[in-house]
Amino acid sequence: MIFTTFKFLLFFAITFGIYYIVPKKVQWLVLLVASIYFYLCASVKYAIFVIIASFITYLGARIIDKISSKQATYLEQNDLSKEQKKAYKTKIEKRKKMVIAITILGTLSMLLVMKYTGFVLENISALANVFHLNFESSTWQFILPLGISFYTFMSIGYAIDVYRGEYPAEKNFLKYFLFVSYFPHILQGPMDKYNDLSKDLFEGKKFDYENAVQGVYLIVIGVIKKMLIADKLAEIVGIVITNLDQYYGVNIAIAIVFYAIQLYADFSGYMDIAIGCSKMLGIRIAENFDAPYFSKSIAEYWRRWHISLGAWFRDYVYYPILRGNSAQKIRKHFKDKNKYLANHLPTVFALAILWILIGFWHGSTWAFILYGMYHGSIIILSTLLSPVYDKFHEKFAWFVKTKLYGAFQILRTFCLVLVGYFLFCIGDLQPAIQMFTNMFKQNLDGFKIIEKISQESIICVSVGTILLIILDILTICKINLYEKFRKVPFVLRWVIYGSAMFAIIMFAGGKAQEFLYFQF
Amino acid sequence: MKREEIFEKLNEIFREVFEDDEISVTDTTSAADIEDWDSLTHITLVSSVEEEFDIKFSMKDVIGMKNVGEMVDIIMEDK
Repeated sequence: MIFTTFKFLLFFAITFGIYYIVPKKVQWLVLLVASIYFYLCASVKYAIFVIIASFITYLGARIIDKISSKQATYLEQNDLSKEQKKAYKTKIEKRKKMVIAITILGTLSMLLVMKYTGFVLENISALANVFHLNFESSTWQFILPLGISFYTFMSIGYAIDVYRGEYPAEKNFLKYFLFVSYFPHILQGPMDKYNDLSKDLFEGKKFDYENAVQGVYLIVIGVIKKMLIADKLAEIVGIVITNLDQYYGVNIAIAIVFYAIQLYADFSGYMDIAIGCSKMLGIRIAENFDAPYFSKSIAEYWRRWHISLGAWFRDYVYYPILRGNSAQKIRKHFKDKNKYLANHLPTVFALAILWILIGFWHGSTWAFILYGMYHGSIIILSTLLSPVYDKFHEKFAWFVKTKLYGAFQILRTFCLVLVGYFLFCIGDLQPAIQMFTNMFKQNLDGFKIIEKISQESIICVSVGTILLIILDILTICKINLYEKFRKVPFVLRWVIYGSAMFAIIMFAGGKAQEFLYFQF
Repeated sequence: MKREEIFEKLNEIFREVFEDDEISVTDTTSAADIEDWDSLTHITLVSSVEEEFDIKFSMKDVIGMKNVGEMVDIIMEDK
């Protein structure tokens, strides 16, 4: 059920109505039924994977919780010496480690099998061919269950949080299942943390006019981004990607810029609708974007783009690697010999693993792995060169502080992001290389790509993109457009909402397109 | 160990990690106040504090501590 369809609108209107009619105590049950229905509409066949992922992590977290409370009771009831306490804690810690390892492996194995079997077998087959061995792998492709990369990571995050003692495990399986399957976030994120969401999900909500109106505002913005910008650009970018041998030079450059706008409008539009719907229900889910194309470095870009994914990898992969034995050994080894290496080598080591994994998370092809490595290499390089940057900034402080230098940094980062999109947009290495090299070949067709766009699409995309840029500039300047919008007289405000929706229906037309991040 | 003494040592560590001799931390100092304090430098900072005070932060503390005040609380608890 795509967010920008009448079917979803009807589904949400019914859910919204029932949610506020029933008593507060059972409101979460309404959301549970709605979420199950929503997922079944998207994928009946693969709903079992959501149940298994939820059950494994629920069980793992409950066992860890039980071990922890037994540990606390034992320590309280027995007067142990410091050494005895330490030995007991170590023993219990080992047990918990084993449970969390089994929980993670069990949950992750489904994702690995469904998403990566084809990739692994394909590569084995390619390797076998080199040695002239016969190995057929084409029958091993699985269809990826919708949202598996998102709900698997969210549920693993929950189990790790309980293991770390951040909060106790949820006792009621159905409540936990609602957290995993909550319809605004199950298919494409944001990857919420259980303790950030649980209070809002289960405490019961009274209808709040402000929340409802703010929700509508976000939904309208999201629909504009998706239908007026992303869907229109998808047609144009699609033509170029499927006819790579016909487009060269400036046309490829324009196509990749269009793709950057399309991807951002698509993904952030989805998030706006998800956050808006959830807000109307009085439930705050995580923000995923913060004007990413206005970043001054690639590291900053990843703090502003797909924020919840970055936070997940930081908390559950990057920090544990850096705190792990290998990184600490590197740090200790260089501590007295070379301070620069002691500080930077462990970071480089952790970043290298992290970015290969982030690339791999996005898709099971070499193009996605290289995409991760590309971004990782830039971040590693800028980490290693930080003393040079610092010196440059110190020496040219007067220039660094100017707006011109700031604009240069933003443009430089955007260009670097664009290069990465060559790998990302097709997700396959060979055509990505072809597309990239085509950009440097002689173009005899002028602005052929522009000629393919209808006048109506030009208006939609131009108006939409200007709106997108204004929204992001306001975000950077910390100006809340909604707050300003609230001051517009009531009738006029609703006339604007109505006109926006009318314009979308009039200009968007066509079939509702799927959101790009569904494929992950 | 007194709170003031901890702050004194922390100031030295912060100045070394962030290579800025003018840093002076208080209870409310957070990542938002120090330009280079991001997820990349956070662990270097935490490891330096652990070495100096001979303690081990749990992962919950590493992720959860919101400002220097909370860091000092954890150090004092351990001492």
